[in-house]
Order: sequence, then C-alpha cells, then structure tokens
Amino acid sequence: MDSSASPIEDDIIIQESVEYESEKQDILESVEYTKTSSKFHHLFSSYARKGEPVPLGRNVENLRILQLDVDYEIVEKDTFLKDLSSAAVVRIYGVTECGSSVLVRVHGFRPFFFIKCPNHFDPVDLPVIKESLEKRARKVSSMKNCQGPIIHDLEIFEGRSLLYFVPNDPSISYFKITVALPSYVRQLAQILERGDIDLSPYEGTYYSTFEASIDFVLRFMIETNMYGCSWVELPSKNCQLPERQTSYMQFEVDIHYNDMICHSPHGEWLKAAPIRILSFDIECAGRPGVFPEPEHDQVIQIANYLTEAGKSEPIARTVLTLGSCAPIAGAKVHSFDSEAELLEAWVSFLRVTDPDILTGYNIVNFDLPYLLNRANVLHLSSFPFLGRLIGVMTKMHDTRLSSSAFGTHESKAFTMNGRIIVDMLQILVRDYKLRSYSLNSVSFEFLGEQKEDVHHSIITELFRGNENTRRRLAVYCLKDAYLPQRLMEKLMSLTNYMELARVAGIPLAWLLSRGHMIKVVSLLHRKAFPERLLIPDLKNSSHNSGEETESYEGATVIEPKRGFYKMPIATLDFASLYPSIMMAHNICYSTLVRKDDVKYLKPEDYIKSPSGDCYVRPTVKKGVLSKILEDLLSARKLAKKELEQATDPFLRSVLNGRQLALKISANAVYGFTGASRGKLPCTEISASITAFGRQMIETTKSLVESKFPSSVVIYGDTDSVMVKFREDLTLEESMALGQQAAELISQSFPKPIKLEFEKCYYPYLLIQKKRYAGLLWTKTETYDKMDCKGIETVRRDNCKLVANVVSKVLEKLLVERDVQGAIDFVKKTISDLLQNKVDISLLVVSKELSKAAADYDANQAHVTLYKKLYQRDPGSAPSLGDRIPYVTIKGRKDQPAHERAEDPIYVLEHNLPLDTEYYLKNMLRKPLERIFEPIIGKNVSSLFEGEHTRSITVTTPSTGGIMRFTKVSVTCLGCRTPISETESKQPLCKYCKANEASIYEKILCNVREYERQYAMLWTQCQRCMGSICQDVLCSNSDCPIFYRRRKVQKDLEDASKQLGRFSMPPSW
Amino acid sequence: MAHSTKVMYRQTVDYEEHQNPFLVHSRTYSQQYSQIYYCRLAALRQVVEDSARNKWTGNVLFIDRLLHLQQGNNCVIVGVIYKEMDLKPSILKEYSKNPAEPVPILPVKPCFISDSDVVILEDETGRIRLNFDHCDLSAGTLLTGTVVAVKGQETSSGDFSVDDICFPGIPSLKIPYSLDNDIFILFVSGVGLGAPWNVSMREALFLDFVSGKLGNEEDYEFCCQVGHLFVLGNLLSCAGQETLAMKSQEQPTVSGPQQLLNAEPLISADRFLTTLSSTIPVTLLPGEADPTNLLLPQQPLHHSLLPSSSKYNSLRRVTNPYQCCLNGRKILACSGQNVDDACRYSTFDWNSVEDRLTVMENMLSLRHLCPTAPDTLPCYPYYEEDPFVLKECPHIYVVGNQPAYGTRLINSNGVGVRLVCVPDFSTTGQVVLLNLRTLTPQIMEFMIDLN
Repeated sequence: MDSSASPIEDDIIIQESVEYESEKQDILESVEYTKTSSKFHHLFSSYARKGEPVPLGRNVENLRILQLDVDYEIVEKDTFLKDLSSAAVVRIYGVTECGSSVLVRVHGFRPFFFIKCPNHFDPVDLPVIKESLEKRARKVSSMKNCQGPIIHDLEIFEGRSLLYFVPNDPSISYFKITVALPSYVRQLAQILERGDIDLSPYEGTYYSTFEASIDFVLRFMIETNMYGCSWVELPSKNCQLPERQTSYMQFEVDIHYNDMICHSPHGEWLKAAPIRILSFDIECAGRPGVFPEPEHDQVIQIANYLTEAGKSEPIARTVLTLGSCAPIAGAKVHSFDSEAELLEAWVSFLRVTDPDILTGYNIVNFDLPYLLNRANVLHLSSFPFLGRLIGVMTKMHDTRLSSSAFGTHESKAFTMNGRIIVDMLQILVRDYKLRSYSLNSVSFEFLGEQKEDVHHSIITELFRGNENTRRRLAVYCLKDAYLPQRLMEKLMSLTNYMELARVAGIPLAWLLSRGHMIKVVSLLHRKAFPERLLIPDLKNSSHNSGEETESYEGATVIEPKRGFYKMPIATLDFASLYPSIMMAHNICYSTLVRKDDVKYLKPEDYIKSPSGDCYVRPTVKKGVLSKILEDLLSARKLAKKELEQATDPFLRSVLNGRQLALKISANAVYGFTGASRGKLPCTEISASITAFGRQMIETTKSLVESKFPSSVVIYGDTDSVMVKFREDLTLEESMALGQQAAELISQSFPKPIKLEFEKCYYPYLLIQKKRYAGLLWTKTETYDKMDCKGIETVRRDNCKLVANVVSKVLEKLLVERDVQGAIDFVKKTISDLLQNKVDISLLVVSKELSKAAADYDANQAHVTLYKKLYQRDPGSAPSLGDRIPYVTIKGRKDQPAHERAEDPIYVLEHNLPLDTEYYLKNMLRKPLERIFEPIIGKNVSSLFEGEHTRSITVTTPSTGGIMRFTKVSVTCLGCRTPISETESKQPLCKYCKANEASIYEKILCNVREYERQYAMLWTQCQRCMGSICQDVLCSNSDCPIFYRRRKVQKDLEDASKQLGRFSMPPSW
Repeated sequence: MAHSTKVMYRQTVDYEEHQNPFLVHSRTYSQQYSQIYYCRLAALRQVVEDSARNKWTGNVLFIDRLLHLQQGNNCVIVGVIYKEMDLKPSILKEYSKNPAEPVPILPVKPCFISDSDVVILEDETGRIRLNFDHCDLSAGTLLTGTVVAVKGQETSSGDFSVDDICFPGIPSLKIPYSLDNDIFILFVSGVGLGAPWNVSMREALFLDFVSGKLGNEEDYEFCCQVGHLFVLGNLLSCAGQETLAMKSQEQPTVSGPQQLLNAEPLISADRFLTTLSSTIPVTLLPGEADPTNLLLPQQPLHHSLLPSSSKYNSLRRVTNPYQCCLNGRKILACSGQNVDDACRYSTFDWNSVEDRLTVMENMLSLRHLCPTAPDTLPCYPYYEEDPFVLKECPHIYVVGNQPAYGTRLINSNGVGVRLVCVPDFSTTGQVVLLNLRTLTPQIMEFMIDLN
C-alpha cells in the first residue's frame, strides 16, 4: 500500500444494491441426479477428490473444516428438529485439512430482531403480546402455512440504541422477537413499523425496529462467533449423517448449531486447507465479422486448469474439444463429436473434480453466461447445474454494484451454491489501476509474459482445419486457462481476500459481490451486541434512491505554491488520519449527543467538534467505533510484527494479506458513516471527522511556520503537509528537522493522533493540487522511487508516446536534475515526431467498440474507422467488444480528426502519412506544458516552436490520392533524379556513379539494420508463442513488437530491392 | 655472390566450385522463420532415425510424430531441440524497461546457460519438455535448432524423461586422391583494417611474406608452394562496423547523397586485396564486421566497394559460409559467427580452443552448419530448403576469427577430417598454413619486436 495515499476515499459509497436470492430456489424434482449418472464421469474419475470416509460417533476425532461459503435453505418440516417445524437450515461448505469437501447442514438457528417495549410495559403481558404477534402474522399469506409457531420466542432485552448518547445513559427495555424463518423478520418488521397491529392492552403505535435488516447468514455467523474462511469444529458425537445426500460434495453431516465450535482465526487457526481452484476458458467459433453469439455460435473448446492451494503442480490440465484434436504434451485432451456432449462432459468434469473456487478471465460476463445460454439454445436440460447442490439449477441474473471505491459495475451473478466465483478480471479492475485490462497486457504487467493473441476470426479457421490446427487452438485455450491461475498466485488475491474475510467476519463471496459497507456492518454488529447496543433500522436507508442528501465539507487542500523545488521538501503525514481522529475524539454513533441534550451534560464530559457536534468523552462512555478501530489497528500492529519475524513464505503472505485487510477495514469505517444511502449514515459523524481533519492541517501549517522560522508549507492535502524548511538545507538536515517537527507538533494533538515524518521529496515538482512529482527519500543514501501523482501516464486514450515522453522527462528533471537535458529531450522527440521517426506503435490509440456503431451519438474516431474497415472487408472487420487500434493520418484540409483515423497496419502497408502535427498539438502539448510551466514559466511555448520543428518529413503514399496521376519512373538511388530509359538498369545516374561505393554502403547500412530487427523481432515472437515450427499468428496489438515486426518486413523488403539494383556480376 | 635470376612459379591449385548453395538471388521477407525449421527437420528426420535404429537395437518403439506419443512407453522420438534460456538476449525484456526505444541493440552475454534453462523437443505436431534426470547426459551441450532422436518415456507430468540421445552422425566422404607434392593453403582471418589500434606493420610483413619478399631463398621456395589464400572474414575491423550500425540508427532513411561515409578502411582493404591478388589466388569470405548484409549466409562483398581489387580474376569474392574443392579436397569455410553463437549455448569455455573444436566436430555430427540460426544467430528466412544442412562431409572444416589457433583430426569411417580454428590476425598476428597433401596444418606468426 502506498503510504502517501490518503487513508480514506474522499468520496463516499453511494449505493449498494445486491440481489441475494437464497430462499427462492428452483428445485427441479423431475431430473434425478446421482453422483454417477453421467456417462462422462469415468473420463475424469482420476481427478476426483480423494478422501477417507468420515467416521462419526463417540471416541472419534472431531471433524474440522475450513468454512468457505455459507448460505441457507428453507425446510418446510425440519426433521432434525423435534417439533418438525419450518426452519432455515444453514449450509456451510467447507474443506477438511486433508482436502475432502464437506457440507454441514446446521439446524435450529432462528432469526430475531428487536423493537422498543411500549411504555410502562408489564412483563406479565409477554404471552399476550406474543399471542397477538402470532395472530397478526398468521394473517399474512406468506406466513400462514408455517409449520410450528411463527413467533418462537419473545423476551425482554435490556439495552440501548446505538445511535445517540442520552444523558445518564439509561438502559431501555426491548422486545427480542425470535421468528421461524428469515423472511418473516422483514415482514413482521414492516407490520410493526406501520403500526398495523393491535398489541392490546397497550396503545397502538408505530414501532421502530432494530436489527431487522441484517442478513440472516451474517446474523448466524455473529451469533456463533464464526468469521469468514474460519475453521469450524464439529464434535463427531453430535453429527448425524443425512438419509440422502443433497449435494455433490463428498460428505454431508447434520448438526445443531449449539454443538458447533467456531474457532476465531488466530494462531493455529490461521492455517489453510487444500482448496481446489479450477481455472477455465472457453473458445467459440464465431462467424466472420461478428463476435460470437450464443444463439448461433458453437462452443468448441473448454480448457481447464485445476490446482490445489499450496501445491505447485496442477491436479488436472485438460482440454475438451469439439472434433478430433492432436495430443498435447503435458495435458489431457478429450474430444467429442457433438457440442452437446462437450458441454455435458464439462459439467461432469466440474462435478467430479468438485472445485471450491471457479476462476478465469472475464468468466462472469463472458464464459459462464455463454455456456448457460448456449446450453439453453441446445436444450440441454441437464447442463445448468453447476453448483454443489443436487437439483438446484444455476440461474443467471444481472447485478449492479456501485460504490465510490470500485465504481459502478454491471455484471452477471449466478446461483452456484458452494462454488465461489473469483473472476480475475473483476479482481484486477477492483484492485489495480491499469492502462489496459486485456489478459495480454495484464500478463505482461504482472507476469512479465507476453501472451499470444489469436483473433476470434482466426479461431473459426483453426477449428475448421484438422486435428493439428485444433490442437494449436487448444494449446492457446489452455494458456488462457492457466494465466488467470498464475495471476491469482502472483497477486496472492485469494490469500488476501481470505484474510479480509477473516478480519471482517463475512463470507468470502460477499467481498466480491458487495461493497465495503457490509464489512463495517459485520464489525459493528459484532462489537455492539456484546455491549447490548442495538442498531436501529433506518427507514429510508436503501430504497429511496432519488433523494438528495445533505452534503458536508470534505477534506482540505492547502493551496499549492507551484514550482520546481530543488531543495528537500519534508512531508509530514498523519498516520491513519480519519481512524485516529475517531479514536482521539471518541467519535461514534453511541457517543453523539443530540443538540437538545447537550445542556444536560457537564462541559468537561463532552468534546465539541469544529463542525459543532458534541460527543461524550471516553470517560463517560467509550464509542463502539473507537473500539473497532482500536482492535483493527492493534491487530494490524501485531500482524506487522509477526510478519517481521515470520520466515515461511506462505505464512508471510497470509500475514501481509492480513495487515492489508486490517488497514482497508479501518479505513472503510469512516466511509460507512458518510454513505448517505448506506445502512447507517450519520452526516454529523463524517462532517465532524473531516472538520477535525481540516483543523489539524491548518494547525500543523501554522505551528510549523511559527516554530521553524523561514519555513514555508508549500502544499497540504487531506492528511499531509509539505514543508520547505530553508533554501540551503541538506537532505540530512531536512530529515532531522522533519523528525523534530513531527514530534513537536504531535504533542499538540490528543492521542492516538500522530504526525509522522517519513519522507522527503528532493527535488519536487509541484504542478497544481493533486498533481506533483518528486524523488522520494526515506533514507539519505539513495532515493526510494520516483513518486508521481495525478500525472496521467496510464490513461488509455493517450498514445504510448505521451507516457514515454512524460516519464523520461520526469526522470531527466528529477533523477538527473538536468533541466536543459529534459528540454533537449522534448525538442528531440518533437523533431523526431515531425520527421516521422517515431515508431508507429507509440502513436496507436485504441478504444473499445462497446456498442453497435449505429448507437454512438457523436462521431468517434474508432467508430468511423470501424465503418471504413467494414466496407473494406466485412470478414476481417472488428466486432462488438473488440478494441480498435488506430492512428491519425493526414487528410484533406479541414477534415475532422475522427475521419482521419486509420488502421495502423493499413498505414504501414500503404505508406500513408501520419498527422504528426495533430499528435504534437493534441496529445503531447498539454501534459508537457503542465510539467514545464512551473520550471520555465511563460517560455513554455518555446518547446513547441523553433528550429527543431522546421524539418518535417511526410511519407508519400503508395496508392490513392495524387499517386494516381503520377507515372512511376526509375530514379537514381543517390540523388533521386529520374534515370533515362536507356540506362534504366542502372541504380545511379551518371553523376552519382562516382560515389557508388558510398551510396551502396549507405543503403547497405539500412539493410543491415533492418535485417537485425527482422531477426530479433520474429524470433522473439516464436519464443513467446512457444513453437518454432509453426507460423506466428498472434494479433496482440498491445505488444510493443506487433507493429514493428510488420513494419520491418516491409522496410527490409524495400531496402533489399534498392540494394538489388546494384547488379551483382559474377563474383570473379 | 652469384645471384642467379631464377624464375619461380607459384604452384597452382585445382579449384572447383559447384553451384554455391549460399548465394541468395532474390530476397523476400513476407515469410516467417518457421519454414526453415520445417525444412531442416524434413531434411534430417530420416537420417537421424536411421542412425538411431543403428544405435538402439532391441525393444524400442519409434514414434513417427510427437502427437502420437503415449505415456509410459519406452520409445524414440525425433525432433528439433529448442532451449528456453532466460539469458538469451530478448527484445521484449528491453521493451519492458523502455518501450520507446525503436529496436534497441541488445547486449549479448557470452554464455546463456542458467539454472532455469528448459530443453524442449519439437516437431511439426507439437513440443515436449525433455528432462535429463535419469541419464548421464548433460543438457548443457545441446544446441537449439539441432535435429536429434531421443530415447526415453513420457512421464506422468508430461515431460519426456531422456535415457539417451542420438545425432545424425557425420556424413560419409570419399578418400581423396593422393597428391605427389606438398602444396599449402594459407588461411587468414580478422585482419581488422581500419581499427585505431591496428598494427599495420604486421599486415605489411604478411603481404611481404605472401608475395615472397621475405626471408631467404628457402623461404621463397616455400612461398611458391602456397597455392591459395583464404581470407576468412573481418578484413575490416568491427570498430568500423559499430559506426555503420550507429549511422543507420541515426539515419534510417536514405534521403540523399549528402553524407559520405568514412571510406578510409575500405580503401585500405581494396589496396590490401589488390596487392594479394596480384601475387596469389584469393578467396574472400565476408565476416560479421564486413560491409555486406548481416543475415547468414552473408553475400559476397560488392564489387563497387573494392573497385581496384575486384578487377583481378584471382580474387574470388564469395559467401560466408562457403565451400569448394581444392585438389579433390572439400573445404568448408566459415568466418566464425556460427561457432561463437553455439559456444554461448554450452558450458564451454569461451576462450578454449579445444572446446571450440568440439563444437565444430559436433556440427559435423549434427549435420548442420549453424543450428542456432535463426534463434540467436540472424539468418535469411529460407522457406524451401535449409542450405545449412550438411549433405556431405568436408575434408577440411575451417573457421575464422577464433580466439586462438587449434586443430583436430577426426576420423569419419576411416577418412580423416581436419578441423582448424584460425585465430584472429589483428590480435594474434597468426595465420595458418595447411598442407593439402597431408592435411597437416601449421601456424605462422608475424611479430614485430619494437625493441
């Protein structure tokens, strides 16, 4: 994690809407599934999970499983319970230490919620009230058929509301209402909120409910003290085997929830289990010019890469193909005659291998929907059963997750009970900011590997060929299945997410399907309940979407003093700013005092925030949020300490994941309080926190400037201030002063707020707010890195040239401290650009054709180009979802830029002239101006004008335009004068003949250079493709080689032709 | 002192050159490199299989294509070796550091060997990883691009566990007719004209020796027995070549005749060759540093570069590699890039001549002149045949520009084959004389004692 990043998202989570359907499950009774029903089962039996039968009974060791997912089902008559009542059965999907998969069905747990007791309630009336509730509930159609009581229990609960501190802190009586089924909670809560009930003898009123909106699974986990991905121990004597297996998992047991032992993830219980991970990829045979559509296009191959966590060798590497396929060394090929068989076999594979986690690249929005839709088209009624429960159909629905941290994403969701879908594309989009998320560029970024890219139009050709071409495709498909797995390993995504699930106490899958808030909800409930604090259900929490909400002032930014600072600039940071403010000032729901109540408090008992809200001091009552944060931060400290001592690489990765998870969770707490459409928004709290933050930055600025004469705060943002102490200080002196200032100023803030000195920028280029670059030093010997903020080098709508120039210029300015060198470099680059010497691959911009061309309103370059390409050849034209690379070429005068977009390959082949001035004006100029303005001020335009811009080279197109009217004549290779027809066999005119040797040698130089490039580029592609006997097909235009290798073929052929004109008489 | 003016004539050598397979007449570059491997495999598959059937008798199964390989069988497969080596120069790695670089010139390490190397066998139908855990052979001396047969079995993890390996073997050759007189061929390489550190006195001595101006009558008589001179590449110095490359980096387009190149080294080369050709028949091979194309086979130097010497019939400007027949003895000559590159693939000592001779011997036994082309040795993308496949064995295999002199006589079915490493003249001052009658080489050194 970048220590200089602001500790909290400045903005807030807007909306979190998740469809969670676990009660409505389609049970398909007619198809009887047993474990061995499929005729393909035997093909894959060697990959099945091994595992001893589970012995049950007394004197047998307890069954221990690592919990991976939790859901529940509704059972009309739960035979496990004595009263045969309707109940929710919680299902825990887990893996034992030796890798057996186990489904635990937990019985007896019932959901509950709270309402405030009526005033002057007499406990004697409890049965009466219970009766009234039961009666009222029976009237609701969805509840009337409930077996056994609807209201299972009604108790008095002495507690307090989490929201607001009431003077004297009196405890209040609540009803704790325990009901039969999870869905009844909300239904009853609604009735009570409406006041649509007669609770005689007490007067009718509206009852606000507490904790009715919490998810049943989370309620269960909190009550049993179960965390995400934690170990659960099942005493054998209490387990029962079911009469009939309900799942494809190896073992199934039933148990009462009271008998279950949940281990919190500490010490021994941090260990992992051999989780099975299946990474897969499908290939489809599309039609020319159309991206594959499930309505028409066959699935032709499915590659699978199955691993077990902690093992280096895969369990299975298989590819299922339609039509024969030549064998692949190291992989198992299964060929099928029909697509239906292929799909059915894959389901068998899935069931036999029983993976816990399904991964791949874009499987959520491509592979899985495609398979399900395709099975539907083929009427394969047995296909859509991909989950672990027998007879539960896999259904697909659309979800929309929008949060400020992750942005808005529409995606598909699937009912696939017990299998967790971890789509590496989604993980990368969430956790990393990249220029491109194609599997190619991601692999290059993280694995240092270029991946061969086979365009989907070639896929069909390969498929229609013979067993060898299909083998070629299968190898490619296998690689696509393998890479997501490698990424997951390399980025330790699974480990980190599992640790996050453990810290936040929610199931693993929720981390992927929900935003940040559910983590805080879980933490809040876990911490508040033991203190008998009840969390109110805010009525308009998640449904009123259009409503404008109060806004509050955000973080402060000290106006930057722009410039290029050549002396060390010390940076003072508040460590974990917002969490430490909350702890220091005891800011919490439970300590917030209503404005009217403030007068009842003694002044020394509360703290008033700069925004005017009051919170009681911890001596009166300690806030729950403070406690949560204290726990998280001290756990993080511990994890970091353990990380230092740990040597085992696996344990280290777990601990590192853990400390990151703790940091993320701590930062999420502030966002939760501010999320206006969240579960429990509280503008007072978030406004108080930012107000304290602003005040602290201002205080720091004035303290620094008063205590350290001649020092200036040149910039400050959210949680840090940049200080220039004096002009003439050395790095060492600045660091010492920074340290001194941090310690001094920390004293003026309450604990645990701490101002830290961690780094100096030296030199430092401050462009404007949130835009700066500098060399970062934490020790005096060497700098750590170049740190750039807000200087976009990753934006995709820029060409690579911009990113390259910007980073090179920054390097020259900051590392080499050579302003003149940077200016010269810019001038050289501009001159190269105008003289057409810049490689075309650096000028390519690519955009995705995300909707049909007709649906674009504005004229966009890539759309116009798409239409052009389609006219040229509908067969090879890109299709929906493809990224279209283009360059901007010269055109008619006044022709708009979008019409001048052209396919780079076409440009190379036809020698079309690039509009280099367009690149200079529209792409390079702005970013460079921004960087140079603080340095050379108004002279900045001199970079773009002058001598170096006068030499312009424009290539002559080989076809079209003016070339139609010209006659091609042979010219002298030396001076380009036409050579008369009689001498046309000669390479040179008679005047240049005398210089033959040097002209020859010059052309030879070009040939040699192009030959070198040709050899290097094409052999590199062979290596990357992994074959030397087959032609390179790769169409990965992200690769720096792609355009160069095409260009060199043409350049070399042209140069060789020129050289060939020098006749080669017999050599003696 | 009666100086009889005795006229002496240089012995003539019977020189035969059949059609030179290394001349490339028309060049196209729209094809890729896969074809050359394909041709290579096609040309050598049967040869290596025959050789393997001789070597491994008994119960072994010959698999015709890799894709028909089954797990667990003890069998023989034939294919092209490919070595994955991290230390090979890789343009992609360079780009990951700096994508703006046009096509950078890569530093080449003297040895590519590292612990992470992987040996692969590939044919038209697939590839398989070879493991050498169960045999005494070391993967260290194998070269990318060689066609071999391996015996072993596919393991459960999908590797092929190698028991033994078989090469095509040295092709057969005829016993040459015997000669009555001693007659010598002179080999020189790496003269390096135009290098700033060049000791031009040594070249002058060499010229004097060849034209018989050196020493006494005995020497003069000996000189008459030298019937032919081979210049094995790098007549010009690589310092000149560097400037060549730099110039083209700066000016990648031909835009006019304004800029004249430094013609000095070429003029001295022309003068050097003129002097030689007027007194002895010369065969001139280009080398890496000489002004001709870079891809192997390098084509003969263009006559316009050597305006004066190319008028002599006695100067043959030929390709690198090159083969011809002198007095019935087949000579195969290279200017050394092939051996240099092959050395990088093995644990061999870069400077050990013995190791280099072993590499040369292996090339004969692998029946290929430059197996590592095109992977790490740039070569023309042939698509109809691989001319570097050795169809017949030479009597003399000579390689220029080597770190030191070395020689070895190997036996191919009772016929001797002479291998010679010709040292770089500019650093050693050494040339090699080879007696065509006996195939015995000897070394000759030109030293100038400035003290």
